[in-house]
Amino acid sequence: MGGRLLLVCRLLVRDLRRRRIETVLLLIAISAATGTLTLGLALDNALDGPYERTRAATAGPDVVAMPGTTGPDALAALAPLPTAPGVTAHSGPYPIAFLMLTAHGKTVQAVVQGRDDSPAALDRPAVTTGAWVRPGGVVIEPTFANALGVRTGDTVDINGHRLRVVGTAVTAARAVYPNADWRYDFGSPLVQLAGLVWVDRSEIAALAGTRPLSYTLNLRLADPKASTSFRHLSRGGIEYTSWKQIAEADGRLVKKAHLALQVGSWLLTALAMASVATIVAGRVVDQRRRVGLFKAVGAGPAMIAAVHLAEYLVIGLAAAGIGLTAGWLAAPALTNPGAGLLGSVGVHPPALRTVVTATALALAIAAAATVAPVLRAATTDTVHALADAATPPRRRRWRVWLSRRLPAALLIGVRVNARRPRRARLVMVNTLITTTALAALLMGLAQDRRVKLGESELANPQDTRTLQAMLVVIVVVCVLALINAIVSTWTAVLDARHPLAVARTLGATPAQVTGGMAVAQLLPATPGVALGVPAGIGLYLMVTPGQPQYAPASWMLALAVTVLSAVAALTAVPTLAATRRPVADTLRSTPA
Amino acid sequence: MQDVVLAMLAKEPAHGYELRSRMRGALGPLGDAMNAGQIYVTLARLAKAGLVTSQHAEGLPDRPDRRVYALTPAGQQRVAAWLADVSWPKPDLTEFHLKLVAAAAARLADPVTLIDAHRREVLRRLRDSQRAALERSVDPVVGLLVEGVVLRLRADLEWLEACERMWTERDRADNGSAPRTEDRGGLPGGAA
Amino acid sequence: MTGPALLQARRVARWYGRGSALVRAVDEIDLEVPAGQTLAIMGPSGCGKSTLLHLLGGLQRPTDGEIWLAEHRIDTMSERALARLRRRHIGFVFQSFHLMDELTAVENVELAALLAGQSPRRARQRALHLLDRVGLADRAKHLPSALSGGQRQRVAIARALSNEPLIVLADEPTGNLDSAATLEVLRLFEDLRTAGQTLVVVTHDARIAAIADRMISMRDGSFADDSRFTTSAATGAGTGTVYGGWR
Repeated sequence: MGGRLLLVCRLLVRDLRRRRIETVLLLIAISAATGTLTLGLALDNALDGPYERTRAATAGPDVVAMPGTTGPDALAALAPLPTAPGVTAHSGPYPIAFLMLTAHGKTVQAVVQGRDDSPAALDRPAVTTGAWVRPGGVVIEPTFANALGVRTGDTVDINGHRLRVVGTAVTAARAVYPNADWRYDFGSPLVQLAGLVWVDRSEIAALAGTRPLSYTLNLRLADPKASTSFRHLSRGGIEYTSWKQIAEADGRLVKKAHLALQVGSWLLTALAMASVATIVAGRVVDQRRRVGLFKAVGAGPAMIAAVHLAEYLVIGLAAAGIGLTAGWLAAPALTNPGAGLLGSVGVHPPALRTVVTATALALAIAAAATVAPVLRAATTDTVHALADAATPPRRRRWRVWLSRRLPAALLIGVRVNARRPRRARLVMVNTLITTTALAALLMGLAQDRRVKLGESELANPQDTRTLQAMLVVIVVVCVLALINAIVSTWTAVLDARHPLAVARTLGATPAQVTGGMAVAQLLPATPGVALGVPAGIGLYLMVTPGQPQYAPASWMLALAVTVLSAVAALTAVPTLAATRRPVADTLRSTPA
Repeated sequence: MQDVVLAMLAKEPAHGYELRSRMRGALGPLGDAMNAGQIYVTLARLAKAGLVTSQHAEGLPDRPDRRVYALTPAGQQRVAAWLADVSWPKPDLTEFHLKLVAAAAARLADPVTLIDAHRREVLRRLRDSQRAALERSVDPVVGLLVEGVVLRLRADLEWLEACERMWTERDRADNGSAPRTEDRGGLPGGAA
Repeated sequence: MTGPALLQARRVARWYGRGSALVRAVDEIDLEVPAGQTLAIMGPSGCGKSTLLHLLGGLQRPTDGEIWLAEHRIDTMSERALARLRRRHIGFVFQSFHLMDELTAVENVELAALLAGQSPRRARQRALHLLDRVGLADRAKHLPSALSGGQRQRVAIARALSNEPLIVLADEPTGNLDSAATLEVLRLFEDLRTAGQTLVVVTHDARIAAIADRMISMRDGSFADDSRFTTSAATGAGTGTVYGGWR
């Protein structure tokens, strides 16, 4: 047994060392998929992590109560609550008004809360920049401040009163911009998008002017279930909002980004599989011979499978490690709640679930792409495996027939494809996935990423983040697609060197030959692009609620043209390099 | 043979037995086939033609192998001419070929059988020569000669195989039907 | 030198294709190879000799007939059992050597022993011994790319011998070699023959005849001729008269 193990290990190490470039490419492909998956899973945790942290740091309430009435009536309605049974702590009531805020020429809705320096048992907003409220100053919730483009020291105008921005602070008692729930009237069920600001308690009445003023009361309950059993309810003219509701509203900020990453990681997994298949396909020639040899010296199917799979499993494991690390390091950039909540403190190791899932994915990709060729090799006749290096190019009669009626470049292209149909299919899958991802991104770009707050529109942090996530996915997709394209065109050119050389001896010019190879790649790439555009649009529609806007047709057309010209260019380069060698050299150095 | 003996004397006069052992050395295993007396018969003929002279060495019995032989000027010239000669011995294929044609035409014998017999004989010779070459003690220069013989025999074998193919087909065609082909290819309806 | 039949083929046939394209690569052949015999099967390319060798080694299954190797019927054996049989009892030598490029000579030789489950130490010892036997002790650590054709084939032969096989099957072992390398390989085969190793070689190279006890000519899938040689000390006797050289 020891001997066989030694053999497997030895072959593994030697082979990896002998094919360094392929090993690196395989690593990149699988790492990209696992990295994206890790990122997606990390966002999972990010959904509640920051809110919980903020809630703990700011002594967030369990329930926030706000009556539908205003002024003294509201205070009277709230008065019995602090002493109600089951209530263990409270803070407030704090005055609150729904006003209009103007900054940099934009007038938007803002929820204004009056606070002072006095210590509070619950909801002590954590100042992230600047200082806490003082007379004449306003503190803005950071996501809102970002969207407005204001910083500490700027001046804003609330309901016609000029105030200086003295700081930014986060709270767990109200959802971050744009979900701070603005209403035209207290007690109105119609909530509108808005951000939260704090002003000095003594000034709020003056700021509100003729606008109604009401109060909110923060409560902590003895029974933890009491606050998680509901999200939002209205009883006795008082609205109760549980922390669950707020957490969910905040989570929505990264939820779409999370979805984008999740869908992206599926795409990337498929693409990585295509990558691995492309790379592995180039090695099948060698593999078949090896399998034949092993069979001849008496190795059973299990041994043959072990020898071949071991290598890919090792690569898969290494890629899982790389992907996990990369995803985990990149996660903060994307999961960073930005300013709206308290970010994570320090670096936490990825969850066990993440590690297991990512590793399983990496191994599955490695196995899925390799099992088929290995099985095929293991089941082929030993004699054939030994005698013939690769599957002889297959002859497709109709294509050969067709190619006789075509111009030279097209003729060469069709014949090259007819030789290796499986490779052509991989080219199609590659362009299909790339185009799908890019089309989805274009759809995302075409959306109106602004929200209307009153009279002005502001950037929606949710969409901005989603777009960021999509960009991450797209960059990784493009890198992988590029690797795929390079590997597949390069192997195609290497494989076709001999027939191309023969074509040149028959009088084809280098330009015709290069054109032929480009056509050979474009033929399968075109249906890939044609299917990818609607697939990308469909994918976006599927995962986006509501009625998104369609990207202009010109964008999609430009996308298709770009992808196809990239494919053509990628093929032309190695082919031109190959055609620069004298024909005789090529004929001499390649087997027929 | 005469030319070889002359060439061996070109460097310096030598005894007959020296010539014989030098020759055997150069031929290696093939030298075994050489008749012991052959060299003296050759020397005697050369002397008669005035190409060599011989001297009786002192104190030894006067026997051919004890005489010292040397080249005459005519012998020198003959050696020079021999070295410059480019004629190449050619195996006589014509005779065998005509034998096959004659045998087939007169139905004296089956050409394929004749070829087969020859093939076996050539194969036997090839085997013997190659076995001689296998001896690890064989001198590389001598090995070259054996290799030459083997190469020619292989060429002969190939030719015999080509002959066999042709005559076998001719045979079938002459017999009108082609039982083997029919058997093999399953041609519809034996066109006998 | 010959004993009871070690390898037996009874009316073995192998066909390819069907209908009018049917090719009888091996056409109902009977063959008995006694232990210790060196058999050369000769014929032009396409006569079916390689197919026959593959059938005898269990690399291919016959369309019809039976093949027995040392009391085992191999044509109906399961793949697993065949693999085990090849591992233990059959050594293959191929025209294109089929060495693994990434393994050194000694590692290539011990491949079969390791596959057969021998301990790494014993496998290594045996491999070094075999390399010594084929005269390549000083090349043990070389990669195949650093060896000449003849040396590579000798490594392949050493590998074929690594599990002390009952029979060595060689397919055109000299097909890719120049005449000097062919001589090396023939000498090695001659040593095997004298050591009593059963050996079946298919080839179109008549030089193999030099090391054969028996020679079969194959034509169109069947045997045309079967001749046995006496293995008396062969000499160059008569060679000199091949071309009537002296006269």
